[in-house]
Order: sequence, then structure tokens, then C-alpha cells
Amino acid sequence: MSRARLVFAGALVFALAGCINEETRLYEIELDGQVAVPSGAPSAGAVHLEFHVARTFGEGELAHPLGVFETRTVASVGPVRETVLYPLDEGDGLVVYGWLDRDGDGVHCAPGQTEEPAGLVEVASFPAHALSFSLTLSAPCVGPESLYP
Amino acid sequence: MKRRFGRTTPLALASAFALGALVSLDVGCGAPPRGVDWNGKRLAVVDMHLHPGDWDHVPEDTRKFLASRFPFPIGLDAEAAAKGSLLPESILGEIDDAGIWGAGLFAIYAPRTVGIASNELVAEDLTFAPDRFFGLASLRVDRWTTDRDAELDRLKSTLSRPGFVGIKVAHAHQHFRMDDPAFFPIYEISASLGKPLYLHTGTSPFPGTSQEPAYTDPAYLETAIQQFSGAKFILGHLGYDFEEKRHAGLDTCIRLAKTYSNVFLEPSALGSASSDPTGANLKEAMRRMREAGITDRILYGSDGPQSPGFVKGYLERTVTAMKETGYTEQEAADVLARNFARVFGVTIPAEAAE
Amino acid sequence: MSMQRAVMLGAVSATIFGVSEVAAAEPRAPFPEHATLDAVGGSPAKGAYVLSAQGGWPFSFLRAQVGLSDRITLQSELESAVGRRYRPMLGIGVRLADAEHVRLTGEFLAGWLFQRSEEVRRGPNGELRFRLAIPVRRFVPYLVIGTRHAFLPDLLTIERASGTETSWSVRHEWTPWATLGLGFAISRGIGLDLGINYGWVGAPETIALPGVHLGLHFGGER
Repeated sequence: MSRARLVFAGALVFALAGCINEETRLYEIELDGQVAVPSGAPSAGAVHLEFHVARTFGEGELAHPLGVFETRTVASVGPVRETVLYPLDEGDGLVVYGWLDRDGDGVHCAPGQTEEPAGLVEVASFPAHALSFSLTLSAPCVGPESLYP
Repeated sequence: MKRRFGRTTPLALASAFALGALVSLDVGCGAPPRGVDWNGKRLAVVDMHLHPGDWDHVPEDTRKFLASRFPFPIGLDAEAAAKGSLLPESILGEIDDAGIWGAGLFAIYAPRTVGIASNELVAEDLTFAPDRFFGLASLRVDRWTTDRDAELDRLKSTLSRPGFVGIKVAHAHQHFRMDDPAFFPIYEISASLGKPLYLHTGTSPFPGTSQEPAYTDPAYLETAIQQFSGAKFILGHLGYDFEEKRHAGLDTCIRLAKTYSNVFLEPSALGSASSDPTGANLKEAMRRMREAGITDRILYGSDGPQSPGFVKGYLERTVTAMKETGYTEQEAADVLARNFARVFGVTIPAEAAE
Repeated sequence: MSMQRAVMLGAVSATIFGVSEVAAAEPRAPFPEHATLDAVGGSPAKGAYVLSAQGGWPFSFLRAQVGLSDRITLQSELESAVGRRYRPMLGIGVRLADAEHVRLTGEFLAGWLFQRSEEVRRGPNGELRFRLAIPVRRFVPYLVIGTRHAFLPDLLTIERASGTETSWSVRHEWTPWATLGLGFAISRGIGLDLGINYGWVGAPETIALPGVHLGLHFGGER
């Protein structure tokens, strides 16, 4: 039996014995993505990405769509490769939301400033350790709540 | 006989004086008088911001957060403590103890953060003290693209029920941008039905809150404020940064109130012992609003009940802040109750301050 | 008032007044070593034992101490806070000082913490404390000062394409402790105590309320 398996078995015994304080279960996903803007639209600027649980667990009325678990900023639109840790006990499904920081102020559509496009995609084939997505930023100044479900 | 009488009179007078003094002492028996004392005059008070609720409709992370804020060992059974304080009879007891006449009870649908206190729950609680409780209805916005029309209809229907005087929304807790036109029909309902809107502004310590500026900074509300001039916008918490415990949106709130006649301000929670330990921030807010000449736009609220005594304590802190920053009796009376009465069309009876 | 309650009240009153009369009539040190002193001052002598039940809010305790030698004591303890937090512990006590009117005991205990609340807390727990008792006739004013440390292990499991990886992290919960109380020996083998406790659970980030307990102690020779 490998050392890792021994540790895992030990952890399991501990958990079953009720001796663990808190347990967090994460699922690693390597995401290969393509972020784009509609052709002809300005594309300069960093892209802010949010990774959401598509549906968050909750008892009865407390269940709800979306629930951000990681955020990243990439230098520009184009190919993206990110590794994220998905919280297995919080929900199911995977959604990627992003917006283009055209004016470079780090704020999405500050009042009176440049209009900045956003987009959202639900990643198909979840759960899997390697997934791909294609995200188009075309909706100006909206949060993920206006794009999903 | 004369001599004996002469000896006993001082004793009798002293006894009568002592008894009188004893009677005049507030020894905690019986209901305290209504209103707050302002240089010998009693002023009526309405606390427009109180939360009824149901522990079972608070998400797990928030329950843990709330339990961690209770002193030990109360947090060990936070459910019992919270259940007790969120009941309408408890809320009534808290406002009675503080001398407060009326209270706004908020519904809220924020399943990701603070949980759900449904319109139905508030409607039921309003029946407990129909003359003194005022309901603010709310709606779910987390499935807006699919459920929008149904939610708006439900909101309109709730607002037609007795006791509902306004609408409560919290962009940061409910996760919708302040400037997103998709949600403007809410403001439209407020304008068309003449029901003022209370909006949480500023960050929040609750887990899962959207802390980005579009969800917390009152500047993002300006488009809606301009577009729906018939709707009254009450900016709750003055855009306070509850994470850093400092003013963040106060300038914006004052500017909006000075610029637009449909903007009102409510300084709840930011002056609590935990959010403003020295009391300096609440005092600064009260001072700056007075200096800006907008005391006719301030509505008092506490954001209670939180814990036993919080409602009373917050009122005392606010009154102290007003006294120390030069509020006149007229201005204090406006802030504590009269502005609420004017904005919400409520009549405050004479017994509210006696 | 029912007959039963009246009889109980009478019995309690008679016990208290009777005890007071006996205390007044007795010599200065009726029994130098007694169960109450062992219970609140710690470290019963070799062969002696004491069992204590202290009920109160928020903390209640069950404790057993047995003298292994004239200085070393074996003890076990179960503490409960409002029925939601338990600490079963095992430890030793060492008599550090003993004179006619002073007893000082150092105690070290180790065990496990189980807390059932919104935030579950479980983990190994240790405590170092000192008991100072000043016996005066039947009365034993006492002070307990302690420091408690619980270690809360969290498990992180990451499922990767290459396999499952687990790692541990530990959070620390510190509880400074103080008890100030007064013991009273009804007889050599039976006694009572009343005390106020302050256990600052989760210090220094938290707020904790003080508590009170009433204890019954029973002891003797093995």
C-alpha cells in the first residue's frame, strides 16, 4: 500500500470516528478555454474571470443558481489555460463568467466610464478533470446574474 | 405636643421626600416611557430597519458566522438565541424597552447570504402589532431571466396587503448590479405604487456577499434615481464599508441626497459597537449630513434586533451622536420619526412620545 | 405548597442550620484532610479518593481523583458546556505546597474536545492549571487558574486526475480559565462548593460570559 493510500485510509478512519473538525473536498479541473469578443469589437485589456458553481446546494428555498469559488485575471482575450479547485460539497455544474477591462481601472463599468463587455458559459461535460470552454464577451455591463440561468 | 410635632415633621418630610425620590427612579419596573428625551422634551421614534426571520432559512455559512458573533456560550445554541430574538413578540419587546413607537420589518430573499425572511412571514408578524409594525416587502432575483414576471407580480400583490409600506432590496446580498436595467422594473413598481424603496448600500460582513462596487457603491444607483424620479430611494447604511469599518460611500450618499429630491439616507448598523467601536464614524456621518443641510432626508434605523439590547443601544448612540454634533430639537425629531412619517405616509400618534 | 415540597424545604433548612451550629461548636480544624479540600484544592493523599459533581451554567463537571502517592494524583474529568460542548480528560495532579492553611496543586490533563453546534469542533485538548486552596475550619476558599489548548484538525481532500491527495491543517483554540469559589465540608467525607467560573473560550477574538456552579463532593479512603 502506498504512503498516500495509507494517509487516505487513516483520514477515513479518523473521519468515521468523528474526530475531524472540518473536511473540505475539492476537485481539480484543468480548463482549456478560448475567450473572445465579437469580431470588430475592441479587444484590448485584461480579462477578469469568475468560476461559479452552476447550482448551489441548499435546503429547499435556499438552493440557488451560481456561487463564485475562484477568480482569475488573464492578460488579454485569446486562449486561456487555468487550473481550478472545485468545491464538491457546495453545488454542481460549472459556469465561467468574464468581463473585459477595457479602460484598465479594474472595475466593471464604473459610472460614466467605458462600457465593458461581459459573457458567461456553462461548461459542458462537468465533472471531469480536463474540460474546455469557449466564452464570448458581448453583453455590456452585466453581472453573471443577468446571464444565467 | 407642639414640641413632639416639631420633631416628627422633619422626619415625615424626609420620608415623603425619600419615597418620592424612590418612585421617580427608573428601577426597571414597568414599561419605560415612549420616545427619547431631548433636553426635557420627549421625541417620538420609529426604527425603520428591523429584521424578523426564521433560522431554518439562513444558509449554513451564515449560521456559522452569526454563531461566531454571539458570546460564548450563547453561540453554542445560536439557533435558540436567534429564534428568540427574531420573533415578533421579541422585536416588540425590544422596541418597547427602547421607548420606540414604530418599527419597519424587512422581508428579504437572499438565499446565498443572509437567507430568506419571506413576505408571508412579515405579513404574519405585522398582525402582531398592526398599528406599530410596518412591512417592507421583497422579491427573489436569483432566477431573474426566467422568473422575473412572476416575482414582480408577487411583489405587487404583497404591497397591496395591509401593513406593507415599502420595498426592501439588497444588491450585495441578492447579487444584482445596481445599474442593471434588467432589474429596473422593481423601481418602476416603487414609483407607480408610491411605495418607497430601501436599498442596502456598502459592503457586508456576511459570507457570500458581492463586495464589488457595482453591488455596493451607491454611485451605481444614480441612473435609476434619475430615471425613476417618482420612486423614493432610501440608501441604507450610507454606503459604509463594514469590512474595513470606515466610511466609503458617505460622500456619494450626501451628494445624491443633495442633488435628487427622491433620495433619503438611513445610518443603521454602521454605528454599532462592533462596526464603529469608538462611535467616531456615526458621529462623523451625522455631522456631515447636518452640515450638508439634509436632515430632512435622514430616516432613523438600527438594523436590529441582532442581540438583546441592541435596538436600545443603537438609538442611544444615534441620539448621542446628534446631540454632540449640534442637532436642534426640530432636526432630531425629523430624523427620529417625522421623516419616516412623511416618506411612508404614516401618521404618528401623540402617545408615541409620552 | 405541597406537603412534599414543605418537607424538603424543612429538611434543607434543618441541614443548613444544623451544620452551622455544628461548625460553631467544633474546634478550629475538625478534620485537616477532608473531601472538600481534596476536591477544590486537588491532590488527595495516597489511598484517598474524591468524586465531584459540579452543576452550573454554562459549565458542569464530573471529576474523580485518586491519590497515587502523597504528592501524585490520578484524575479524570468530564466537562460539559450547556450540553453542547464536552471535554473528557485524563490527567495527573501534583501537590506543590501543603501547609495547615494552604494547598497548591498543579494539574495537567489531556483529552478530546467534542463540540456540537453550528460550527462543529473536535480535536485533542490539553490543560495546565493550578489550584490554590486556603482551608479555614470547614471552609475552603479556592482559586483555579488554567490555560487550555484545543487543536482542531481540518482535512483537505483534493481529487486530481493523478489520484486523491489529502492534507491536514490544525487550528488552535485557546481558553484561559479562572474559578473563584468557596468549599464547605459538611463532614469529613461530604462537602459542597459554590464558585464562579470564567472560561474565555476562543480567546482573544471572542467574547465569553462568566458562569457559576454548585458542587457536591464525596470522598474517602480506598
